[in-house]
Amino acid sequence: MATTDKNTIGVTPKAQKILDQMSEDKAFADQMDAAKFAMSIAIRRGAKVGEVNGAGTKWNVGSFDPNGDLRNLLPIIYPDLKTPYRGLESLIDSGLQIVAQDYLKGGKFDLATALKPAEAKKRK
Amino acid sequence: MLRITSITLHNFGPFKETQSIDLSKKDGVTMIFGENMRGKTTLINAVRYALFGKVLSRGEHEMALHKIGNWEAAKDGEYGFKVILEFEHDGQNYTLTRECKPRSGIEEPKTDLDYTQTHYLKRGSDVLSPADCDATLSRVMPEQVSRFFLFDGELLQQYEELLMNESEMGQDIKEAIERILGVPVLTSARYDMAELKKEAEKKESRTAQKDQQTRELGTQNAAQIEQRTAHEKELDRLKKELTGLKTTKSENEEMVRQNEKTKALLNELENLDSRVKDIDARNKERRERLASMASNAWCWVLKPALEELQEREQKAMATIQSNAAQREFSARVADQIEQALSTSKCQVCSQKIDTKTAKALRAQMAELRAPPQKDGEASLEETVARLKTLREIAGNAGGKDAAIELLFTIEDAQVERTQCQARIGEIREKTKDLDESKLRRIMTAYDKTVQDIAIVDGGIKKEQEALKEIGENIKRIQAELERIGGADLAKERQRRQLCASLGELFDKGVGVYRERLRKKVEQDASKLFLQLTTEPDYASLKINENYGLIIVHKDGDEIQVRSAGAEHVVALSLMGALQRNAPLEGPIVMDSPFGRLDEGHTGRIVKALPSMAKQVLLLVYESELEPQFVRNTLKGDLLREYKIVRKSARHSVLEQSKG
Repeated sequence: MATTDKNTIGVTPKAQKILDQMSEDKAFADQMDAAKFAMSIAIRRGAKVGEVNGAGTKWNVGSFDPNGDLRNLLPIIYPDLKTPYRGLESLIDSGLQIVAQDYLKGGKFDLATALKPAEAKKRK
Repeated sequence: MLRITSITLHNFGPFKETQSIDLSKKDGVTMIFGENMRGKTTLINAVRYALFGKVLSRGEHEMALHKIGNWEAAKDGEYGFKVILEFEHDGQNYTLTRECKPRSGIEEPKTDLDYTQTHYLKRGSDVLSPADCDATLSRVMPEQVSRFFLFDGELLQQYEELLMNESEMGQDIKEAIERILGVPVLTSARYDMAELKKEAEKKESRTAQKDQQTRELGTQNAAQIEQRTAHEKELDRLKKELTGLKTTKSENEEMVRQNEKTKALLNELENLDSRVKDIDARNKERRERLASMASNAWCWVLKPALEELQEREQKAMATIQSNAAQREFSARVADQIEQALSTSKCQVCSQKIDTKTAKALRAQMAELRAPPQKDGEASLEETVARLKTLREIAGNAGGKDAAIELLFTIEDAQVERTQCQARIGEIREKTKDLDESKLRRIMTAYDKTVQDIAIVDGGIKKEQEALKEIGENIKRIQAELERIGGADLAKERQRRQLCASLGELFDKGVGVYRERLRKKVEQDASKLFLQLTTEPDYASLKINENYGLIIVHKDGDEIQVRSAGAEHVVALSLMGALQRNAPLEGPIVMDSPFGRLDEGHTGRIVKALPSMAKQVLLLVYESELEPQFVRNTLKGDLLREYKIVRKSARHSVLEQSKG
């Protein structure tokens, strides 16, 4: 595992497609917000952090995490994590796979279910 | 009296080639049975075409003649049609022939312009001149009153309009009623007297102008009369314009009515389109709001985890703090032991410390001085920093419920949008062949006509006011002339006053005649109504100013609301009463008058038919009126029976079945 952290993070082409679908309905102002949301989903599901192969360089970490909240948060959740932005990249990737599997219905992103699965299910 | 003796049709509607109906010259009823779409209404139209050169649709609009010819004949290259009507009137036999055929040189006509029409009337074996032909026809059956002789049972509810004072159709029917009852004979006389009075006034002015003493007043009077003529002319023009506009309005109204369903669909479409646009606009705004809220969505998802982590870190911090306090206490105890060992005396009880005790205390002190550091225990600073991070992120986790509510609102709106779109699809499918712009044009034309009517009405009121003022001026001048005028003027004045008195007499005559007619119509209609109705509690009919008839209960109350069936019975009573009181007598040709009536009323009406007119031609379908029932009811009053038999969808044949 790499010991130095990343300055830029990105997503794989496969994950990018999922990100595009999530953005279609304009539920998020931009793909950065969508990626952070995917990360949170991965954390909620207990995803492990790891390395992502083939992730591009989509965002500068300074823009993605201007206050360093994520850099500080991820090691709290994952005490063994020494390179928070690498971890972040892997969580975004895992989160996007979960979104594709559970929250993209007919190609449309279901934010309500992703946010509050029980309530959304009851409503439907 | 007009009595039709035969109707011959050639390629008229579904009646292909030449077909005839011969009618008995005796008084009574002729039945023509035919199922729907076989040509019953077409037969009435054939009589109408022969008499007036017009064919009317159910909405009473003139139909294109190009559409009247038989379709099968047209397919074989034979276009056009002909109707021959034989009738008796005042002891003379007439044969009226009216024909519509393609203009010479036109092989395949496409519109009415490709046809030419001819008609001629024979009295006995003499062919009448065109002028005599038209004069005879308008005497035998004036078109304006034909509605009381040739009528569609389905349209009888129109007579309800007579109960509505403001109804234009009611006014039209009222005029037609007065025409059939002969009121125009008196109103024309009144008009003629008014015209003669005006002539006398002109002469009076001219005579006054010849005399030095009255010249000035004569000139003033002539000027006023001239102004009055101009205003009267303008008033006439406006009234004609108003009549034209009202006709246009009722035509448009009919088209609007026919297209009412389509109009409702188009309005619904418009509303749905606008609803979809509204939903889109609102959802766009909601999505923008949601997107701005959703920048913290990751915090909303992590909120439960953040709370757990905060709890964990708080516990850790408590442990660190407790360990630090423990270490401080141990250090203080170690210090006290060290001091006691240095003096070999206990600082608390002043006892001496022996060697054995000192050894034990040294071991204890060493233990207190070096408390074991726990593996992985974080520093207090690190824990505080972590808690700070967690609290800050958790601080951004608000607004989730509002966002979800917004999402559901968007979703609901989307569901409504989908429903709207589905309905739009249905309507578009239903109206795909519709000329929407044509319908819109009709609606616009209708609105414009309504506006024009209001303008012309205003113009009429102004002209009437001007005429009233001029009339008063003329009266004033005439009074002055009477005061100072000589013998010549007195003669002219007498002529004018005579015309005025006669005019007033006719005016009163019109009122008295109308009142008597109304009473007579009311009595006869009541009598007939009581024969026709099956309701024993109804006592009579009461007539209003417009010849509208109101049912009166035996307790004296007026029945305010009546059913379509009752409307039919009242209308038939009016028809019968008009026939009895009209100077003009003719046949009643009725199409499907029993559709809305129950068996009881139908039976009573059939029984009353021979008393309604000397010649009755009744067109019905068999389930509306059973042939055997008619035979049993009418007995000897049933003269002949015909049946319209289907050959194909576009070919019907008239067959005599009895008589």
